[in-house]
Amino acid sequence: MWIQLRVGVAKYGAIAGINLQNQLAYVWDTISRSTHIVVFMFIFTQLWGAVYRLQDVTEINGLTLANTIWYFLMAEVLQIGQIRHDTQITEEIKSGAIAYTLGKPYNYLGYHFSNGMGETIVKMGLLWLLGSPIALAFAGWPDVRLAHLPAIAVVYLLAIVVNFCIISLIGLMAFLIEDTFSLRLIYQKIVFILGGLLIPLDFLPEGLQRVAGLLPFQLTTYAPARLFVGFEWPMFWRQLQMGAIWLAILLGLLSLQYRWAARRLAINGG
Amino acid sequence: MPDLAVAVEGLAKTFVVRHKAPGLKGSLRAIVRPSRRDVEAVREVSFAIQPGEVVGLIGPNGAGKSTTIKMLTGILHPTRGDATVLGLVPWEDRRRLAYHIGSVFGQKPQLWYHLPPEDTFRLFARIYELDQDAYRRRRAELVELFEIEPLLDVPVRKLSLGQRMRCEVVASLLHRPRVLFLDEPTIGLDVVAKEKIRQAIQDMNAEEGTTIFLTSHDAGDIEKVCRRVIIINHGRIIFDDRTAVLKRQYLTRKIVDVRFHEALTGPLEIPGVHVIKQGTFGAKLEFDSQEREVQSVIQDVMAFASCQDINISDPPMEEIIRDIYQA
Amino acid sequence: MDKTLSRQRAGTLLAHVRVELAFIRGLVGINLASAMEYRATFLTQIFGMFLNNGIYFVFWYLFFDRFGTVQGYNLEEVYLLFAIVAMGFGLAYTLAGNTGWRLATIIAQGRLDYYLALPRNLLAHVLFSHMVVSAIGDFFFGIMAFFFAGRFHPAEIVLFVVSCVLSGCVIVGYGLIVGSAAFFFGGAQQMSMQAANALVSFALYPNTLFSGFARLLLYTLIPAIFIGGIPVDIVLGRDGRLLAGLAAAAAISLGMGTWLFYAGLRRYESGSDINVM
Repeated sequence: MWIQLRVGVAKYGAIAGINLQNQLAYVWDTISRSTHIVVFMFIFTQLWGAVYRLQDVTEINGLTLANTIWYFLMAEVLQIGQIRHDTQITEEIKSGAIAYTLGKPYNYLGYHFSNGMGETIVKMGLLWLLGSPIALAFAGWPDVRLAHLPAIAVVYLLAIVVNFCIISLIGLMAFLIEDTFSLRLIYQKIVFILGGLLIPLDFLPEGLQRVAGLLPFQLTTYAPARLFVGFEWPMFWRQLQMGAIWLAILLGLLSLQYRWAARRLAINGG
Repeated sequence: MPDLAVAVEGLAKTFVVRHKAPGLKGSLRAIVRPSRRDVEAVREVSFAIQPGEVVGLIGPNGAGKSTTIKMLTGILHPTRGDATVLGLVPWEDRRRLAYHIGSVFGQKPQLWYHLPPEDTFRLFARIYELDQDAYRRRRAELVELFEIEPLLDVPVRKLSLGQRMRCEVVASLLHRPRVLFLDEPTIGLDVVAKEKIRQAIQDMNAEEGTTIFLTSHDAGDIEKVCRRVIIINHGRIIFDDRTAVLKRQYLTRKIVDVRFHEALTGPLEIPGVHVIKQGTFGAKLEFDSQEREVQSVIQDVMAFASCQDINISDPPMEEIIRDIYQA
Repeated sequence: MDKTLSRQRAGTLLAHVRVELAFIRGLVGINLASAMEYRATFLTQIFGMFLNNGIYFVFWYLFFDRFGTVQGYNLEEVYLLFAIVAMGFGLAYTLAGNTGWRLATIIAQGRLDYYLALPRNLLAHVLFSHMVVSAIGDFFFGIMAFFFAGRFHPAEIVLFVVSCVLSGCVIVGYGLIVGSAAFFFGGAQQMSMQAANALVSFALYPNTLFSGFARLLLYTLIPAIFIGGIPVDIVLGRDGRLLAGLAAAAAISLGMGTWLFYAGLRRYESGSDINVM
C-alpha cells in the first residue's frame, strides 16, 4: 500500500508537472500579449489626472479621480478578456462543421460558453494582475466594500453573458454574410462609446447618457465597472432589471436565429 | 583549367545550435546557462561541375543538401573551404552572382499567389533589369517550351500544383541563368506533371546549355534527368559519378506490395524473389530487376494467388543510400 | 557575361539608385494589384480602418465638449495629431508593409532566403514587398482628419506633408529595429508587435500629458513624440528648427534600423543559432 501511494503521488506529480509547464507557457504567452492594458492604464492615468487637475475639482459627476482610474481598469479587463467565439462559430459555419455541432441550442452555445468561460477567467485574472499595480500606484486601494462584492459579481457575470449573447448573434450571422469580422469590429466600436469604455457614461451629455442607459452595450462594460467604484443599491437593481430585459430579448433573438439556421442547414445540407 | 560552372574545394559548415534538455528542469537551466552544441552540417565536400552538366544532389533529410546549396547561392557563409560559381565566390559576390543563377524551391513559391504568373514575370524582368524587347522574346520562348500559354492570366491560386511548378521554373529562367538550382521541383506532382517538368528541364539544358543542379527525394527525377549524381550523407559525399553507374549498381532493386483476395495458405515462394514480409492477405517482396524481369515476376505473383492489388516501387532513397554507405 | 538581355550594368551610384527606385515602384504596383484582387475585402479593410479611427474622433468630440481643453490641446489640435499619425502610419505601412513584426516573422521563418537569392538591394526588396491594405484606410483617414483640423495656410499644408513623410520614416525605422531583433532572439515577433502597437497608442494622445521618466521613454525607446507631438508643434508653430530635429530623428531611426538589420544578417549568414533545416 505504501508503494502504491508513492507511485500514485509520483504519477499525479508528473501530470501536475506537465500541466504546470503547459500553464506556465500559456500564462507567459498571455502576459506577453497583454502589454496594451499596461499601456492603456498608464495613458488613462495621465489623461484623467490632467483633467481633474485642470478642472480643479475632486469629483466630476460623482466620481473621484481614483474612482475613474479603477473604473477604467475594470472596464478594460472586461473588454479585453471577453469571450471571443464568433470567429470559431464563423469558421464552423464556413467549413460546414456546424452541421454536426448544431444539435440543440443550449448544448451548442452552452459548450462555447463553458469553453470560453475557463479561458476568460484566466485571462481576466492575468489582465487584472497586470493592470492593477498602475491603478494602485496612482489611485490607491479601490473604494469597495466587502458586502457589495457578491452583487458586483452578479452584474459582472451578467456583463459576460450579455456580451456572449451578442457575440453569438454576430457569429451566427455567418450564415447570411461573408464577413462577420466587420460586424464584431462595429460592435466593439459602439461599446467604446455607448459601453463607456473610453469615457465613463457619467461624463456624457444628458441625452446621450439616457440613450446609452437603455441599450445593452452599457451592460457589458459600464455597469459592473461603475458599480465597482461607487456601489449604490438603486443602481444595482436598475442594472439587474435592464439585464433581465435585454437577456430576454437577446436569448429570444438567438433562438430565432438558431431555428432559422437549423432550417437553412436542413435545406442546404450543410 | 577550363572554366568550371561550379568548383567546390573542402567546403564545410558547422552550425552552433542552442541545446535544451527536455523537461521543466531543462527549460530553467537553459535560461540560466544555455548550452551550445556544434552541428557539422557539411564536412569538407569537394566537387567540380562543368558547364552544361545536369547534376543530381540526393541524400536523406538533414544530410547537408540545403546547406550546400545555400552556400553555393551565397546565402550562408562556410566555416571552411572554398567554392566558386561561374568564377565568383558566392558569399562575397552574392548580388553579382544572382544575376546569373536561378533557383526554384519546391516548398517556397516565388510566384505571387493572388495574381496571374504574368505579373510575377514582369516583376522578375525588373528584378533582373531585363531589356523589354529581349524579355518579351524570352518569355515567348519559355511559354512555348513549358506550354503555359493558357495559364498566363489565371491567378496562381487557381492553378494546379503541376501548372504552378512549370510557371515557377519559367520565372527562374527569364534572365537566362547559366546555373539553375532546383530544389524538389516535382514534389507533390502527379506522374504526368512530373514528366512534363522533367522533359522541359532536359530541353532547357539541351538547347541552352544551362548547368542544372537538382535536389530531389524522387529517384525518378534523378534517373530520368540527371547524367551525374552526387550523394551526400551526414555532410559528406559518399557517391559522385554518372547516373548510369548508380543505376547499374543500386537502382535495380524493386519492391512489390501485393494484396490477395484469399488468405495465403503457405509461405510465398517465387524464384529470384525475396520475401521481406508476409501477412495473411498480403506480402512485401523485393527482387533485382537485372536478374529477373519485372513482367515475369508479376506473372509469377499473379499465378501464385488471385491478386486484389499490386504495387511496384523503387526502394526509398534512404535504403539506396544505406546500401551505398555499406558498400 | 551575357549583355544582350540586361541593360549596361550601371556604374554610378545615381544610376543604381534610379534602378532600385524603379524596382520599388514596380513592387508597390504589384502589391496594389494583388491587394485589389479581392475587391470586397480591400474595401472593407479600408472602411474598417476609417471606423476604427473615427470612433476616437467621437470620443474626443465628447471629451472636449465636456472639458474644453487638456494640457494645451483642444479638439482641432487632436484632429491634427490624428491626421499626422494616421498619415505617417499609412505611408509607412502602405509602402514598406514588411516593416515591424512582419519582418520578424520573415526572418524567423527563413523566408529571407528568397530575397537573398535575387540581385536587388536586400533591405529595400524585403521592406517594399508587402502592402498592408488597412494602412491605405489610415492614409485617407489622415487626409480627412487634416480637413477637420482646419489648418489651410499653404505653409501649414507643406509642413504637414513633410512632417507626415518624416513621421513615416521614423515608423519604418522603428519597425526595422524591433523586427531585426528576430535575428538575435526568438519571441521577437511578439515583442515587435507589442512595441509597434505601443508606439501608435502613445502617439495618439497629447504628449504634454507625459512627464519625467515616461516622457524620456517616449523620446527614446518608444519614440511616439516624434511621430505625433513634434509634427503637431511643427505645423502649429511653423517651426523650422523642430522640422530639422524631426528630420534628424527620421535619419537616426532609419540608420539604426538599417545597421541593426545588416548586423543581424551577418549573424544569419554565419548560421549561428539557426535551426538546421
